Amino acid sequence: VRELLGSVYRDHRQGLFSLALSITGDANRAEDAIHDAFERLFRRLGKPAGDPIAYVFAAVRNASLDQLRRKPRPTAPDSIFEFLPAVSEPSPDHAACDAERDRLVRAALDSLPDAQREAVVMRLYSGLSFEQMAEATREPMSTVASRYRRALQSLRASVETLV
Amino acid sequence: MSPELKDADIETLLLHQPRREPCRALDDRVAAFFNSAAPQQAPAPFGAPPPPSPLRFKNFVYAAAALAACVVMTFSLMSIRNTLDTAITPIHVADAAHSVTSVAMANPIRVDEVYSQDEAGDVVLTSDNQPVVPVRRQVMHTTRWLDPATNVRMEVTRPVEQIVVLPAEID
Repeated sequence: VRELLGSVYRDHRQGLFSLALSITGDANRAEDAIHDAFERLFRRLGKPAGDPIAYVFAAVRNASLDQLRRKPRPTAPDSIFEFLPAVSEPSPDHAACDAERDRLVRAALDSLPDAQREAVVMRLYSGLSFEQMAEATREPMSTVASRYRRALQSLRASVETLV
Repeated sequence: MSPELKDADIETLLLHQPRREPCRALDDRVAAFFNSAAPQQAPAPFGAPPPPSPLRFKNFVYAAAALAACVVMTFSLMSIRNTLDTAITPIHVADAAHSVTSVAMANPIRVDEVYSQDEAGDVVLTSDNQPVVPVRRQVMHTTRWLDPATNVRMEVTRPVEQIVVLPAEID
C-alpha cells in the first residue's frame, strides 16, 4: 500500500497540488492539505477499495476542504498558474493577442464557481477520467461530466469576448 | 483566432498554460511518511482474536527442536549401546548455562543468544561393570539481526543436540 501511495504521489504530485491550490486559494495551505491527506492515508494504511488514484485525490480534496473550514478562501486567492512568460512572436500584434487570450482564460478559470473549477482542474490538470472524478467527489458521473461541460462553455464564452 | 471556438480549443488553450508547481519541501514532507517506521496499529475491537504473538513462533521453533532432539537421541542411544563395549573417555559437562551477548554493528544490529540445557539419563553399566550415565545436552543458538532504520528483523535458530557419557558414582 505504501508503494502504491508513493507511486500515485510521484505521478500526480502536480495535479494534486493544482487541485488543492484551486480549492484553498493559498499555496502554503495547499501543501499543508496534501501533507495532511497523506498523513491520514498512512495512518489508515488500508488498501483502497476502488481506484487508488481517485482514492488519493478524494483524500487531498477532503483535506483541502478541511483547510477551508478552518479558514475561508482568501479574497485574492493564489492562481494555479505561473506568471505569464515573455512571449517572443514574430508579430507584436500576435504576441499581444495571445497574451490577452491567456490572461482571459486564466482569469475565467479562476473566477469559475468552485465546483466547476474543481472539475476542470481534475479533468485537465490531473488527468482524471470522469469515473475517477465521480469516485473522488462521490457524485454521479453524469453530474461531474455535465459540470465539466458547463465550465468549458463558460470559459469559451469568456475567451470569445476577445474576438 | 477563430471566431468559433470549440471545447477542444479551450482544453488545448488551458493545457498550454504553465501551472504553478509545488515546492520541493512538499516532496520531503510526504517522503517522510514513506521513510518512517510502520504506523501504530489501531487497537483491536473488543472480542476480536488476539494478534499472533512472536512467542508462538518461538514455541514452534522449540517444539521443532525438541522433536529433532528426540530423533537424534534415539539414534545416539542406539550408537551408545554399540560404543559402550569400547573404552569410554569421560567428558566434563558444565551445568546448565544461559548466556546472552550483544554486538552492535554499524548496520544492522546483531544479537546472539545461546541457551543450553543438560539432562542426565539412567545409570547403566558398561561391559566391564563401570557405571556410567548418558547426559543429553541441548543447545539452542539464536542470532537476530535488526536494522533500526527500516525496522527489518531477521532471526535464525540453530538447535544442537549432543549425548555424552560420564562415569557415575554409586554409593
